[in-house]
Amino acid sequence: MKRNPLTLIIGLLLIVIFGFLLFTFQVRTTDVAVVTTFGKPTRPITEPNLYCKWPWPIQRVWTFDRRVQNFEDRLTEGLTLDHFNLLTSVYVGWRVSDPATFFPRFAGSAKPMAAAEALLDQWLGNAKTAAVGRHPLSDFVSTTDDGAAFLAIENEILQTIQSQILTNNLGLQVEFLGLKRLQLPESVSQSVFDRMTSERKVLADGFQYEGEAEAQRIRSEAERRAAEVLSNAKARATGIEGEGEAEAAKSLKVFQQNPELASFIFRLSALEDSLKQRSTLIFDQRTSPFNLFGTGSTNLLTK
Amino acid sequence: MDKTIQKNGLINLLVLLGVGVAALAVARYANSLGGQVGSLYLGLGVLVAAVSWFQMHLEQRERLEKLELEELAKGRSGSALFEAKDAELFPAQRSREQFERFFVPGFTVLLFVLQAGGAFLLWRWLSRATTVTEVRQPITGLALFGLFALVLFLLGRFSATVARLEHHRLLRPGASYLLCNAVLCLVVALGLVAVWAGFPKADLYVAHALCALLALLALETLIQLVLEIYRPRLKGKVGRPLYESRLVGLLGQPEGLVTTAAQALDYQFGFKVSETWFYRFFAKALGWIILLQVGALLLSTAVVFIDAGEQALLERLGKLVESRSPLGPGAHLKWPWPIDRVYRFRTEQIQTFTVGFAPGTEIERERYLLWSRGHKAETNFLVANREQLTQAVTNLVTGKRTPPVSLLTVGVPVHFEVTNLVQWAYNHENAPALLEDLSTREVVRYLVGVDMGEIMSRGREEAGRALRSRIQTAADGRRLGARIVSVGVGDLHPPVNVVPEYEKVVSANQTKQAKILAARADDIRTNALALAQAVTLTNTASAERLAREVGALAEAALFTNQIPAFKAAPSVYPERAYLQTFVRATANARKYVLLTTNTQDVIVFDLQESVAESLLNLKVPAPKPQ
Repeated sequence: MKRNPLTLIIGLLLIVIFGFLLFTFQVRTTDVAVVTTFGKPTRPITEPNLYCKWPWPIQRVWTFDRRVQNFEDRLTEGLTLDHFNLLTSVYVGWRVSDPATFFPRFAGSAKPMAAAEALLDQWLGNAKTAAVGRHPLSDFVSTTDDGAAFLAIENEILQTIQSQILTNNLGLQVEFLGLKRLQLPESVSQSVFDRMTSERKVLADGFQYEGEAEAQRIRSEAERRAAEVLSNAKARATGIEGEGEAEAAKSLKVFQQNPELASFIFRLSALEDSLKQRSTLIFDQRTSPFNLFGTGSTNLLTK
Repeated sequence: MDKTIQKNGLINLLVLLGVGVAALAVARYANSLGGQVGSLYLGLGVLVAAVSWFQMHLEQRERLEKLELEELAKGRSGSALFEAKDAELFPAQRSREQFERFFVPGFTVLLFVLQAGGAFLLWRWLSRATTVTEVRQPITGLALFGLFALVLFLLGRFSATVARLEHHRLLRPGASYLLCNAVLCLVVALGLVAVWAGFPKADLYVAHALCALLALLALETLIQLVLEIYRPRLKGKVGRPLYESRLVGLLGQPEGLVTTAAQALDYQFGFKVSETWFYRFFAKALGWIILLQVGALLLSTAVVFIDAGEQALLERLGKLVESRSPLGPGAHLKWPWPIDRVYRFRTEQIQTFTVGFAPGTEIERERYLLWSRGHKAETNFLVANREQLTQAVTNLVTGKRTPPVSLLTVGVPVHFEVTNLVQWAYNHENAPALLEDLSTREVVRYLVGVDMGEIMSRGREEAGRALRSRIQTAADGRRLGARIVSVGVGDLHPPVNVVPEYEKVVSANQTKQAKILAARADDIRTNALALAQAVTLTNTASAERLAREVGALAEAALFTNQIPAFKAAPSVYPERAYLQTFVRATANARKYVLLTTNTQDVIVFDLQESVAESLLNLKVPAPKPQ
């Protein structure tokens, strides 16, 4: 059988490639690794490079991200010192600090990092609930202390977790922790909504009645000032009239020259003025000039 | 020679069995769905190779039996032995015939059931959410599947070549399965390469494709079974084994397709295209050309082009090349893959996330943004309420109370850019998520320390500045390598349930202002009218005063002139004056004159006002149409 050199080259090339892949492995800058030989951790690797190993199933390589892992725990309900229900969740930055210690702790899991986070989640739940119970709600929500109590609570939870990890020697390290969410349970939120609604109602009613009161005050003030102006005007008018009367009285001396005639003229004037309106007069024939209907007058006409 | 074929068949069987077990183990270890489905093909190959090997054994026995009989026949011709029936004379032949008549169809039916049932059950298994898991150690998986492919290919090619010899046809089904499984192992390995390259669903797609192929094989087997019923059976003609699949053969040896295509070309062009120098050169050099292409492809990975707005990190054997990182936009030389690898990031692009709700809903695309329209996955943040906190301190009572806080719906867009790529990529596993967490925490911390009324009104601008500064400090503290460009606080508002009450307050405030303004208008009108009336009063008084003064003077002057007239005619002048005045004064008066004065008559005057006749005849005007 004629041997094809191309087939041989390709075959050898493939064997080299697949062999290379089976007998070597890379550890990236972002990773740390643990090599196990028949399941036993034999070589922790913390420096990035190309390394050799025996192929699976003799040796296996477990790589873990060495960077800080960001993890947010579940929203859990707790009771504050002053008996308010509060939901909290935190984010945690943690990393694998010692792969040789970390790996056996979580080797039974298909995803060791996820298993570590699951454990942290449970511990965080306890630590958070305990910290929440030691503080009144005003330590979480306050306009006075510039957030000092808030930071203190975060530190409490962080220290609790760090001491737990240290005690149990997990090969991981929690770098930082922060309160990410502060919430109220649904039913409590509803009561806060109701209270906020009532506050708004108070404000709305306040505005409404303040408006009415202010309008009423402005109107009464206006009426008072109008009345004042009119009263002053009337007083002034009366004064003016009085001055006129006084001035007119100066001419009465002229009438004093013939009081009888003046009286007669005044009466005539008064008679004329009084009959200016519609009036009914009943005369008998003795009233001048109707006395002309009498005989004497008639005779004078015939003369 | 006959022993060789059996040995080859046995090797095929053992290799298929060994590789099948190993492939299943590797597939399960690597969580490769494609690998697990591919293992079924190897299992089918094992069955086919076992049956064909058994059939080889029967044929071998038959041949030996015939040889023995021929030898006997030469020595003892005409013996009674040869007068016996065929069945008694050729037990091996009879066994082979019984095997082909009953076992082979039965086995083919079993093969069909396995193929059809396997395709159905595996497809259903792949459709379950719990089936799909992350592929583990893809490099180990692809290397081993590549090796399996190589082993199967080499042995398959050898067996396929041997199968072309006379009496070796039964090697063909096993060889076909070897080659087909080599191709499938290569496909599985390529799927794992894709997973390694960042396409995690590639393995699932490969698994689905293999399921579909299995269904096709089942269909082919069914058709073969049906056709077998009507197949004309000619004496002495050896047919294909019923369980041998043409599709498997085609998949394992695709050059058969090329040969067919060449023959079609020959027929179409009218001359032997397949015998031209170009075709021959192409057929001969195709392998080298492909190898050259692969080499060129590998060499092309020695150049990397970074686009505008991007930066990249260069890693050599997993280690950051600090002297060359980060790579800026432009062309860069590097060692070919997999020695050097480049990881790209968009650093100059302004990136955005929103604290408080999930963006990307219809509401975000609307032209207006109202408090009353809720966002997707909106969260209510606790915010301090100075008045309530004071009341809570002064009224510490037990029992069910409403917390002395308010709730605020927040939409805070945070814009940032990456300024230090090494920190951004290497300090944190998920830097964008951490930045979002830090921002959310700062928003929460800020809100619980400010009064709601304040932040809703004049405190917004200050809140934007403070939040930007705090988030930047937090990001720097965690060495994120990001710069916070801006933080928007335009979308802070009360929760949707409370919004109508807030709007009512604004409405009430406006109503209040309206009422006050109306009262002020009334004020102006009342006082203006009063002033006008006052002026009228004083003017009237002044006029009357003048009239009084002038009238008094005129009357005095008149009286001064009347005195001489009276002195001149003391009786006539008064009489005349009286009568003149009487006429003027009574001109409009109704006058009754009683001429008889000495009678005792009672005269009754009706001085009652009577309604004028014209008033009684007034007509009411008709109503105007509306």
